[in-house]
Amino acid sequence: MKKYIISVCITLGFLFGWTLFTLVSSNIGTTVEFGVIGYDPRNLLSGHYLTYTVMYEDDAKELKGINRFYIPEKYAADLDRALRSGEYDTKIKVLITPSGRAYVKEMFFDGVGAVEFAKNYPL
Amino acid sequence: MKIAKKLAIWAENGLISKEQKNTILDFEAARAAGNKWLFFGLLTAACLAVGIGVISIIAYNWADIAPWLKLSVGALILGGLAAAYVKTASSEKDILAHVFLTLFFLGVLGYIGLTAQIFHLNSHPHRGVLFWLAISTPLAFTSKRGFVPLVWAWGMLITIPCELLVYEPVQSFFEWLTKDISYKAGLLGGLAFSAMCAQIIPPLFNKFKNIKWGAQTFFAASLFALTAVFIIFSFFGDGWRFYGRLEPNFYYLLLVAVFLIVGVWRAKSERKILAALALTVFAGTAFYLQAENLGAFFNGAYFLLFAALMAAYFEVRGSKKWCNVFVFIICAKLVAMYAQLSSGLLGFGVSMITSGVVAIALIILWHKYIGAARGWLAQRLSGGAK
Repeated sequence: MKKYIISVCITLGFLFGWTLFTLVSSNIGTTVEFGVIGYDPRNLLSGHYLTYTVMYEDDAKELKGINRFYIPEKYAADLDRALRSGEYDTKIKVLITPSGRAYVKEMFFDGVGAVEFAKNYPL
Repeated sequence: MKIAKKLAIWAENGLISKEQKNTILDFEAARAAGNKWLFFGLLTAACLAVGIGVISIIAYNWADIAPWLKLSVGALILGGLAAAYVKTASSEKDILAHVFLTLFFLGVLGYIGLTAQIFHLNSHPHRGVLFWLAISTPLAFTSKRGFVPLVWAWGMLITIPCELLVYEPVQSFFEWLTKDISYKAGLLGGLAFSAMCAQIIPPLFNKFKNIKWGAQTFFAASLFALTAVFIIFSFFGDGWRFYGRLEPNFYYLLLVAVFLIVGVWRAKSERKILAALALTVFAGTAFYLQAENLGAFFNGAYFLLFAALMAAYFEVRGSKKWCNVFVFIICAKLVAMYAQLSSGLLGFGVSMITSGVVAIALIILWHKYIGAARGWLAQRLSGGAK
């Protein structure tokens, strides 16, 4: 019995430890906003997401891992169309931790959060 | 009455000798082990359907549910599956332990996907899988059944080279070999490297037979696939297909002849299946060369026929594990074909979970009651005959 308990505890320990680390570190740091242009592909594991090119300011350092914003399937087509059309001012809010890790916190279409935008502005 | 008890009574009363009793017991044990491999192959495919369904429902992305709630519910489900696995594995309930371990193993992958979705994480595609396999290492090493060690070994042997290819020097070497020299050199290099690894890696896991088996099957499959790809590429040249141009060619005939050549050293029963395989490859390749688009149904049916013949070949040879690998591949392909019927992640997830759960229940019931059902039916039939 012992070996089975140890094996699941190690797996769950690393899994929850990683999730907790992500949860904590994604809430400590400073937030900045960047303009974006992009489109919507699908990931088999985590679902639909919008991917984009970040428009950095001239002096801004390029950040890793912020080119993806996951969205619910039912809004994917509308948000994809909105992003591709280029008619809306699209931005992402990014949190940068003291160690330099970056997390995407929200995506905006004309200043409105992505999901709210899709709910209230049917395209 | 169990057959062992019956045989003991018969032997005691001089109806059969002790040697005969032992021969019958060995035969029955081997037959039961063979049936179990098929049984676990089907059961694993059903668990896989449930796992894929759960991952699809997670991927649907429920915007109206708070992230903390999603993470907590996920953690509770994983905790429940882990507890169920520990309990059933400790009480030697092999079948249920296998079901819970498979669901827990796939659940861990689903939870990684959920965390990535909530925090919008982004990295190289293989890294999520590598992380999943790395943290599942203890599960693979303590599993009594082959599925988790098989996925672990195959996954590790695929994702570790992918991870190495992220780094510049390895990438440059690979590009130099496949582009600057030729893709054939790359394939031959891959063949030589696989052959070398096949000698080194599986013996490292001598103490863990399931992991060793996983590594062995991976290298055997990679050697077979690389050889087939090399032959096919040599045949096709630089293009992928020559539509409407079927000409006898050394490489094409070699592809077909492989099965016939192998057959020379095999028993008669194996030769028949190898001849059927040669015919399947011959006809299939001809169709692929002649037609522009054969459609998903033809591809699926052709793949299933090939896999079924391979399973039959290994069954005849007595290689139960390889037979089970192909049974599992057939089941996974059927699951994938079935999955194409539903559109949208939510509908897909619900249908996969429902059918997976029903399949698990039916397979377990079948395993448990098939003997009694046969007995009942035989009794009824003989009663009817009177």
